[in-house]
Order: sequence, then structure tokens, then C-alpha cells
Amino acid sequence: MKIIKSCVGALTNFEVLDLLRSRGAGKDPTRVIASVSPSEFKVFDYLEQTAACNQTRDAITKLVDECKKYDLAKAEILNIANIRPSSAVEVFTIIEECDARVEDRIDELVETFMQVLPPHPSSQAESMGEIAEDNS
Amino acid sequence: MFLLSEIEHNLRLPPHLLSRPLNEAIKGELDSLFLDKVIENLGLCISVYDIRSIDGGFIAPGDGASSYKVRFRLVMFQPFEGEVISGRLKESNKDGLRLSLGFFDDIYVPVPLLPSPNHSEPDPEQKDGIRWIWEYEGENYPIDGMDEIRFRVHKIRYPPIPLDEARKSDQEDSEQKDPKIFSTMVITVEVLAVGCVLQQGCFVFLYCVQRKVEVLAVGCVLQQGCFVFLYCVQRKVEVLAVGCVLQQGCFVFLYCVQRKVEVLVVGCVLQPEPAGADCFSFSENLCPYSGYDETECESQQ
Repeated sequence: MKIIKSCVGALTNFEVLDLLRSRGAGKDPTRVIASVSPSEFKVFDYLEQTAACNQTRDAITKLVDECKKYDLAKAEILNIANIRPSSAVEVFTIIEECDARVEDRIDELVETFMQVLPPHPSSQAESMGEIAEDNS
Repeated sequence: MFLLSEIEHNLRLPPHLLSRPLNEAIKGELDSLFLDKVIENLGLCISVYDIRSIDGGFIAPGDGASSYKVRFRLVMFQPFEGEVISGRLKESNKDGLRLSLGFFDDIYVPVPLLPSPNHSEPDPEQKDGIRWIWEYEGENYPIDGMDEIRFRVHKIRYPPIPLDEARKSDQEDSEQKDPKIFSTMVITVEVLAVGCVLQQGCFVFLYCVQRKVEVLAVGCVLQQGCFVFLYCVQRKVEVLAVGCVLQQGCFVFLYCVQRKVEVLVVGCVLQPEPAGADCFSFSENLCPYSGYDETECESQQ
């Protein structure tokens, strides 16, 4: 076995989920007929619980465009797409040296992320709290 | 978390697969060979992404199987250092915690990387188990089974598979599989946030930034449909919003700025629009500081 290239490119959670869905992972309740192996199903189950489950390709490209203004590293954009931070505290862990780079625009950033990326279905129960946060 | 790697491998296709279409047979062989196995410095193989080229098809003398030189791409699970991921607790012992992602279980949180201050106590539910408890502002938050834990990756190691296991697999397989390509992957992480459900429908999201704990949000459901969201910025707790469901679908959001409570918005659910968006009415008349009365109708996104 020879490794030609160890990293052709990074994949967001959404892209892997899309790949598994295109093989029929989501549509098969018996989990036997689709050409998806049990270990791939475990990955599918995990990804369905994350914020990636209702993202779209357009949302991700839009996010990348929006982040160009803030000069974020590729790894940071990847993290943001995978997690969908909904508050300033969550952004602190993702962006290094947050205070120096984006201190006063942090609320703007969080707003952008919440608008561009769709929320996770289970967190819509907490969206009443988000309305209050947005209005603050 | 995931990346794409390109691999070239000399694949031996057993004779009983010769009747199947070549692509299918090769994909099946690659799946059984690489799926759910760890390749050193590349990560855990999740799936075969595509097959780029198939060369060869020569049959060596004395062997019934044909061998192909296949170039293909694999989807690998390999988080980079500093990545933030969420997972569930699998087990906890005196060395720390072990977390699971469903498809990958070897994520360890050693004791120094647990949110501090903390202490451990013997687990009442499991014999010989240890439960870790995070102390924050006088409250004890146990880290146990139903929590979703958010962590940042600290280090990834690829210790080799223990030698006697490799020797065993050599003897069992008739194919020539090189045991040295596969290894194990161990990820060490630090805990960032723990979500946990307290009693009576309260929940707390705690957050730890560089070992300083901040409460991200505490929500609790009071009686009769009231709820409180508290927010802690740099250890000062502020009430973010207190919502109260009044009768007939009206609700009030109160907001607390520096401990002075102001009514943020009073909303009232009217009948839903045909497009599916709910129509809300907001009046900001109750704020003592702005002193104006305005009613608007907005559709909720």
C-alpha cells in the first residue's frame, strides 16, 4: 500500500453526510438494503445529531464568503461550519486570539453564523431564548 | 474532522469474485480491507470515496487470483489539533474520562485536562466506578451518562497494534496482509463544555475557556410555563431573559441589564400567516427608560 497524497482536502461534516445520504443511508430503515456498511451507519447517526444535518451546499459557500471579511483561517471556518456557534463564548474557543482579531465585531460574527447556517432541529425549542438574545 | 486521502494499493482479487463486474468486486474488496481500520498518520477510514484508476489484472503463475494496482480515495476521520467536537461520555475512571462519538471510542480526557476545580467520588450506580464532579460557584455538577460534552483535541497518537495480535492475524489470513499498515488511534482532549440536565427540567451549559469556567446559559422551567435564561459573563450572572407564558398565547420577555430589569418585549401569538410564518406583535411600551408605545407586526424567521 502506498500513500499518494495524505490530504487531498478537508471535508466538512455536511459533505460526509451528503456522501452517505447519496448512497441511501437516510432512506433505508432496515439498514440492510443500502450499500452502506454498519460502521458507515454509525458515522451517519453521529452526523445526524450535529448541526450538519440540515445544512445545504449553498449555506456553506455563503458562510465561506461571509468569513472572508473577517480574515479567518481555513481550519476556523471548518470548525464554525461543523459546530454552528450560537454565542460569543463558543466563538472564543474556535478563533485563536479572538480579542486581538475580532473583539468588537464578535456579536456581528455570531449574528452572521446564526443567519447563514440553519439551526439544529432540537435547538429550536430553545429559540425563544434566541429571540431574546437577538433583540439584546 | 474528516479529510480525503489518495492511496495506491496492490489488490488481490480472489477467483470467486471474477464473475462480478470489476468495479463492484474491487470496491467490495477495498471495503473489507480498509473500512473501520486505522491507518497510521492518516486516521480512521470511514468510507471509500471513489476509485480513480484500476491497472493490471495479471494472474501470477501458481495463483488463481488476479492482482490489480488500484488508485482510490478514502474518507478518513482525523481531527486536527485544536478542533472542537462534541461527544458523549462512555466511561469514567480514576485516570479521567473516556468519550465516544458512536463510531470512534478512543477519546480520553486525562485528569489534568478536566474542567477544574473538580473532585471524584465513587460512582453510586456502578461498582468500582468513579464519577467526576465539577465544582463551580458553589454548585456541584456531576459529569455522567446523559451529558453531551464539547471538547477540543489536544493530541493524537498512533500506537501500533500489540505484536501478538498482529502475529495471530498473519496466521489466520491466507492473503498477504501487511499488519504494519494498520494501527490504533488515541485522541487526548480537553473538556470545553458540559451540558447537563438538572432536576425539574432545569439545564445548565457550562463552558470552560482556558480553565476559567463560565456558565454559558442556565435555563430552568419554572411552574406554569415560565422560564428563565441566565447568562454569565465573566462570572457575573445576569438574567438574560425571563419568559412567562401568560394566558391565551401571550408571552413576556424581560431583560436584565446590570441587574436592572427592563421589559424587552411583550409578544402575542396571532393567527398564523398562510405562508407558514407566525405573526407576532411586539409592543415596547413597558420600558421605563424609553417611554414610547409602539405596536408592530413582524413575521418570525
